[in-house]
Amino acid sequence: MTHVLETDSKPMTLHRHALPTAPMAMPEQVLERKRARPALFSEFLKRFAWK
Amino acid sequence: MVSVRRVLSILFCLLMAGLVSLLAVGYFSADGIQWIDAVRIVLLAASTAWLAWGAAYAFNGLLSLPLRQQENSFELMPTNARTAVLVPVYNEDPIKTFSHVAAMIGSLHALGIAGRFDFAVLSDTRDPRVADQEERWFKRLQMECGAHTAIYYRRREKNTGKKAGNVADFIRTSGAMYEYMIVLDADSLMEGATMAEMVRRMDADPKLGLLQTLPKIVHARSFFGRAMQFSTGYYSPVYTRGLAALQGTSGPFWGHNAIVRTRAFAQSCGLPELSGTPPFGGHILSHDYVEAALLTRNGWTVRVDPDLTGSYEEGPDNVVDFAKRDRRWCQGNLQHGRVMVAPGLKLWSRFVFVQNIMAYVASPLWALFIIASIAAPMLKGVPDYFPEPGLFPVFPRVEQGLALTLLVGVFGLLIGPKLLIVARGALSGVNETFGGTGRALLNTLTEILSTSMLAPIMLMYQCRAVLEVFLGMDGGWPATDREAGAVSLSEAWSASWWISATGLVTLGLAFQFAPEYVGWLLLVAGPQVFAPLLIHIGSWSALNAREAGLFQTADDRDPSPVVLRQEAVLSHWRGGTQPAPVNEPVAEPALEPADVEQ
Repeated sequence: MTHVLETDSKPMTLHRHALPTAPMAMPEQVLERKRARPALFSEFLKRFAWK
Repeated sequence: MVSVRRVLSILFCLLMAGLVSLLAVGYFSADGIQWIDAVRIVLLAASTAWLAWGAAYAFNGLLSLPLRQQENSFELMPTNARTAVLVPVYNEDPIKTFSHVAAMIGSLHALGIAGRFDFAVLSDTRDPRVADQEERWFKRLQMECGAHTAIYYRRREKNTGKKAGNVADFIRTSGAMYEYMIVLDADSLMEGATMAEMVRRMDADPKLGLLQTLPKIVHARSFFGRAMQFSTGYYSPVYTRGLAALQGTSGPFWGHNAIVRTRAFAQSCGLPELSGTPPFGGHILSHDYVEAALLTRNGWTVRVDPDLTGSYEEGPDNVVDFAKRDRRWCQGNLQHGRVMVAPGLKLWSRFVFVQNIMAYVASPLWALFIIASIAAPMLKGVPDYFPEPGLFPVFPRVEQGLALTLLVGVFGLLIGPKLLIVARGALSGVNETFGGTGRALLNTLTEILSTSMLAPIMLMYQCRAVLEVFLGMDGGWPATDREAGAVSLSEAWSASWWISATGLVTLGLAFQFAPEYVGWLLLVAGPQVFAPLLIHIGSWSALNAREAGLFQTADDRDPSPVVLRQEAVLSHWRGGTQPAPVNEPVAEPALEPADVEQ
């Protein structure tokens, strides 16, 4: 037994079943600590270059 | 109380590791102690501590279980919350997946609460032929079930972020409409009553961000699959109760068969890409545990409730498919080494990441222990038979008694909890649903035997997976084939010949350099030599054996209505003779009071 529930004559397309639009923000989380070493290294280079 | 349990459990692990180390010192030092013995003792102590941690979960579970088995009756309460049921799919068989959706809608409809839930099939399918099938079968699903509830389907052009990205895309598009989301897998099944109960528990605790159920495996057909189904049905409730007792508010998320508070999830779980390239950088693969840690970092409670029955999934039916999935999980878990140092995480969350890493690193540790044990006699050279001047030689003491105690201790940590679960089941009445205590004990012993045979094979697959990840090889994200049939002997051979070869080489080296260990090593290398045969036999159909009670579970005798409904839908859609089942009455679990449509 198949239940045909469409009553109009239009062919059924997937557009009619697209997700409802109700956006919610989902900000990216911080998972990695900023690396101290490259900053220190570049600082050292700058000082070295200045001298 | 949680802290006390945690401290006692950790002390138990340390005690076991210490005892095993003492025994090992006695055994290994029989012919003098050298640096290689120290390496062996450290490896053995670390591996034992890991086994003891698994046993600690079981002991906590056994101690926190009620004395008698209690019948679950979920209370149906009115709610204003709208819930989205998310079904992420990725190249799976659409007929099968949609039959699961139809069964769940049918289950909700039978309770009169289908209107509270919207279903969203979130496709990340890459194969255009499968995508065409998805659209075709979605129309069928819509025709048969669309009157009861809203059902949506969307397919992403690019599967950025894989499953986590798929769910995040849903939240960014439609999240504001829903108070809660029930996150499923393509093979998930849940009773309508269970879904309603999950919503009730979320309503009752505004701080609860995520509630995980314990899904039981259904539809296993092979010996291997049935053994897993028995394990999840019989042991897992105890282990999960132990986990629940130890977790506090920092519980697990297993990625599916769970409900999340949409606002909490959106606020906490936007996953960035890790710097660098895969396998350690890029998208986070085992995202579920990371999401659980991020929820608790933001102050939300994450909980697993083992009493939430009526939650099901399917599993791989053979070792090869299991190993493929394990390869994916291995890469994801080792990636947790990057995430565990994230700022602000709770200490327990960091410890959980260590456990996830250890779950895979334990295998190479055992392998290294075996290698070190074979190498030890070579490095030690010929013993000094005349330590003092005299006529009579002094032979090194071979402490076989200590070795046996060591072996019994290590195996005891693996087997002991399972035997205690049988004893507890006899007292609580649980065994009655598993065919009686005699049947449950027999099936437990059979499961222990089959697991012991397959463990050395899985050890090799895990060692290879860990090695590949450390060598920078990205395993990708293959779809799991949960309906794969038997593995032929030639397929098993091509998937595991290298394990046989390793087993033979191990035995050969042991005969040559460490003959006193050959007997012990046969326990590991023996199954490895016969890996293709064991994999092949494990994939044989166990349906006849099931009739005889092999690996009998509670669901064999009393299948869940939603499982019966899904089987009927699938049979009907695949051209079977059963009537259209979605609206057919199927006995549902008892609910009280009478259903309340919102």
